[in-house]
Amino acid sequence: MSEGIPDQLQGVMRRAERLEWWSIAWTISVIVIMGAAMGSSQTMKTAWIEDCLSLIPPAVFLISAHVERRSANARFPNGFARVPSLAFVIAAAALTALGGTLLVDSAISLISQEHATVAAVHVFGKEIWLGWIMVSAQVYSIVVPLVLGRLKLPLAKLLNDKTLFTDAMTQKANWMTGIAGIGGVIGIGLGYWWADAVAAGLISLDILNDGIRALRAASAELVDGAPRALDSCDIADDASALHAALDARFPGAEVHLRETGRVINAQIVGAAPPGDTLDPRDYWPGDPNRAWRLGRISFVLPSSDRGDVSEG
Amino acid sequence: MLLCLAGCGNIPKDPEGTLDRIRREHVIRVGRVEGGSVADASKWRQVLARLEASTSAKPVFRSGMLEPSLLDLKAGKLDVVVGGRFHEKTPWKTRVTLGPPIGRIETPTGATASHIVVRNGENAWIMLVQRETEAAGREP
Repeated sequence: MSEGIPDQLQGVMRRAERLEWWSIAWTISVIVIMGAAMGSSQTMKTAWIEDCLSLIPPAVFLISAHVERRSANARFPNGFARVPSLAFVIAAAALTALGGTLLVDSAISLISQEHATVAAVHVFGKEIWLGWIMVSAQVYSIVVPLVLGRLKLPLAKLLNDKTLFTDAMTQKANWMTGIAGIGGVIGIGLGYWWADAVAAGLISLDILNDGIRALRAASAELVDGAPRALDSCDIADDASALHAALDARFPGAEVHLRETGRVINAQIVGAAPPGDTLDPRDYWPGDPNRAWRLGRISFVLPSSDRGDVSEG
Repeated sequence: MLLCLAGCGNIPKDPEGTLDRIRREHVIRVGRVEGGSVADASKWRQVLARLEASTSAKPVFRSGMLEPSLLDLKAGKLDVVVGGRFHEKTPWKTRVTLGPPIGRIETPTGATASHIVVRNGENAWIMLVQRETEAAGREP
């Protein structure tokens, strides 16, 4: 078993990594096509910047997966199990910065009443309004993240990987951007100059909301808060079940749960470790296939000669 | 698909209705910048003649300096500004829409060209001006 990734997740992890490489390649193709069709539309600019920044989560995921496999050493005696947490913070910060930047940009466009010029181009000798090219590029930019996001979501849940989940959310934001973007461009075509900036602003709000939610969950993890759910800032269901099971097993003791990367570490304060059960898996209350979630359980003795005893 | 979409009705429209007003009132409000070259003037006159033919509107000229004319264009007091020569990196190119270049000249500090200038966002009107400028460019 590698240091950070449990054995039973190795296959899923490799699938996720392959998917992220494909994701980067497809996203680059979207960036090139959208960049070529961008013109001076605020919506298109918003969507294009979003496409560029959506490269960050898959890149961060691939780097963290690589580092997570490294063995513990003298400089990092606890291994690299927390690398996914760091990756999650970076991905969440990127998503928040993206939403904030785009919202300000759209607000400036709206307040300054910028009228986007979307003129004509020549395709095969025929004059075509650039807006139709933009709409075609947006359609392509919808299909790619729609497919990738749907493929990533189940893997993120299997791996309990918040970076991959944030990435799947970014893909969702991307295809929503595409749909709103088409609305913005058609709005320009119909003579509603504000449609472009309003569409871009609505997209930005959604991205900002996803980013803030992810950043809150990432911050909770950094300060050793109780494990959070993948898709919200609430405490994860499996962590609540584990807490209840440990409470029942060690009445009167304090149960502290924290998340280290994709695994939960439990500390029982005020109880002695039972002599008969040494494997953390035996404490996992739910699906045995998910028992890898409990990485370590430690005990702080109630007596004056207390000291940590680790099992597993 | 693009060719199919290109056939869709009256898209784009002008947010401020410039082209509709020109066709309705038969007047094109033209800001003329003084001091341009004869060759440039000959070419923009050709473009205006083509616009006149395609909209059944007469140009009404108002002479002035370049920047005040561009500000009037931005404010919607003019439909088009002719006779202005711009550096290729002019900051005006984001504030107004420069039509296709006329009489491009290379200089040691960069290229300059005369442009017929239109208000940003008036996409139907911009497309017509671009089309007629390109057509005039093909004429002798």
